[in-house]
Amino acid sequence: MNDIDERVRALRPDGLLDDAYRRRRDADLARAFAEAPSPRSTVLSRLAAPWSRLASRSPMVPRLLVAGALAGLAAVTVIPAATTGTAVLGGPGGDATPSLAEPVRSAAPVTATLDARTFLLAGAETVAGQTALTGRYWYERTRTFEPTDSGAVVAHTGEVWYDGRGGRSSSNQDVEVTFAEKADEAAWKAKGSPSLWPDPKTQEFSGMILKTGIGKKSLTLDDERNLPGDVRGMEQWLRSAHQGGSFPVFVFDAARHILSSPATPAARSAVLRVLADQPGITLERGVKDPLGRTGVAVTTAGGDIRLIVDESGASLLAFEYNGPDEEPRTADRAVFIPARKGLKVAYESSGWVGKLGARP
Amino acid sequence: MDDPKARFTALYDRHYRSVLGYALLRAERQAAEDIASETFLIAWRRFDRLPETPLPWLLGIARNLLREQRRSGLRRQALAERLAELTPAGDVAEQVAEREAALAALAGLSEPDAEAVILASWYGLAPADAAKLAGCSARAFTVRLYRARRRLARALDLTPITLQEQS
Repeated sequence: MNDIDERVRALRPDGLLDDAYRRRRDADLARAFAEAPSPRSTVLSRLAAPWSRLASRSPMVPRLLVAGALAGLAAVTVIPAATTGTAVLGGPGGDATPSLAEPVRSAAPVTATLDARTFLLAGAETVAGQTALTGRYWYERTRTFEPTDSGAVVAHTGEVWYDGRGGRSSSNQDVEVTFAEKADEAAWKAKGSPSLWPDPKTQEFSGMILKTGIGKKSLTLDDERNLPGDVRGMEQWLRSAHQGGSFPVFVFDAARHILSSPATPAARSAVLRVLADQPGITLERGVKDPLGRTGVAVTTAGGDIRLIVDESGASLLAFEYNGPDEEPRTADRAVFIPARKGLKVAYESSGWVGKLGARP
Repeated sequence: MDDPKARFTALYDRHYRSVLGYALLRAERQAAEDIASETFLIAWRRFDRLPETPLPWLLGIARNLLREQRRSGLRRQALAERLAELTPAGDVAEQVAEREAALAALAGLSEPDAEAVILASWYGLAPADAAKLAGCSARAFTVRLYRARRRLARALDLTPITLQEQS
């Protein structure tokens, strides 16, 4: 390095600039957007409003029903690869959001956690030390708790085995209906206790490419395994996937998909570090997830999304959505069923297995 | 991309670091961050006037804010001294030595000359744009830059043959 400009460029405080950029970005943008823009922009803003309002709602939980078969792989788009697979709009019944990237391992307990950031960074360290596993099928098992119009919350379990082209799905298992309000329950019974949920279904499929939708991106199984393994690369990837609205809320939503995907330990560690950098996040110890497991809750500044992780900070236990009810939308052949306030997804088990039907 | 918020966000993502880097040449860290924030707030208010090449425009807004700050009487630290505080020393001996030498050489320049070479190397601004920021004519800026590079080359014992004028 003997060029003058190179020598002077090396004095640029890039680390500090990046740090300030990450810390101030959301507040700066929010502060600006709180004001009316200049006159020409106002017109554009109004024109763009209906679409941008949809796009800004990042915690949308996309779910797809393929000809009634894959009853709802949350956050999954299905594209027919070779044979068939027509995406159709179906009723409720989504199961099986992707679960943990690998089985929970014994991790060093975090004994003194000062705040959400420290806790998440400790979790990132733990994840980074894990070994990437592999196998024929990616397996996941989740239990989803969905609020319905009747006032009931329907809990159901789903499992999926997938090898990149085919596999098996088992949805709407062990359905349980609970009512928070006795009046709602009485009204439902007065109607003859009509079924609130589709019947259980298990089915094998082939010739399907399933994609997980994260913001603007849709990822195949291989894409998930190739997510950036460094924090800067991950943040850039997330920025490029972000469609609008609050970036921190988007990061939470993206993090739960990445943490429950076959992403590498490095990528999952990176997303935890990006999560740790989001402003206003809060930490609560000793909370119970929807399955009664004790964990630590990390919540967005506005409280829209809560992620419950285990005490090591390395494994995602559950996702809870408490933001406003989403509006439904469709895109291409994917069907996005909107998240409702109160939606919860518990990640029970996941990992690579060698054959259909096997569990980690 | 017609949505002004999306366009503004892209503008922010692309140029925030450059604006803050510029502000850090003339202000303390906290003040510089505030000036960068304020720059983008003003840019949003004037977004309908966004020029095709926005960076010099943004730096111009920041420069005006920095002038106001200076009028308010804040202590002004020498540029090279501030850079020394801002950039980590690193732990590779050769890099540390190079950095120390570059800082020392920069400290030996007049403030306008040091700023000229930084504007050119950090941002690659065209002389006309850089001159506006520096508050001089394009010709004066070119002379300033040439002089600064020559002095730095001598101070750093670099072969003058590597010098190139910015076109």
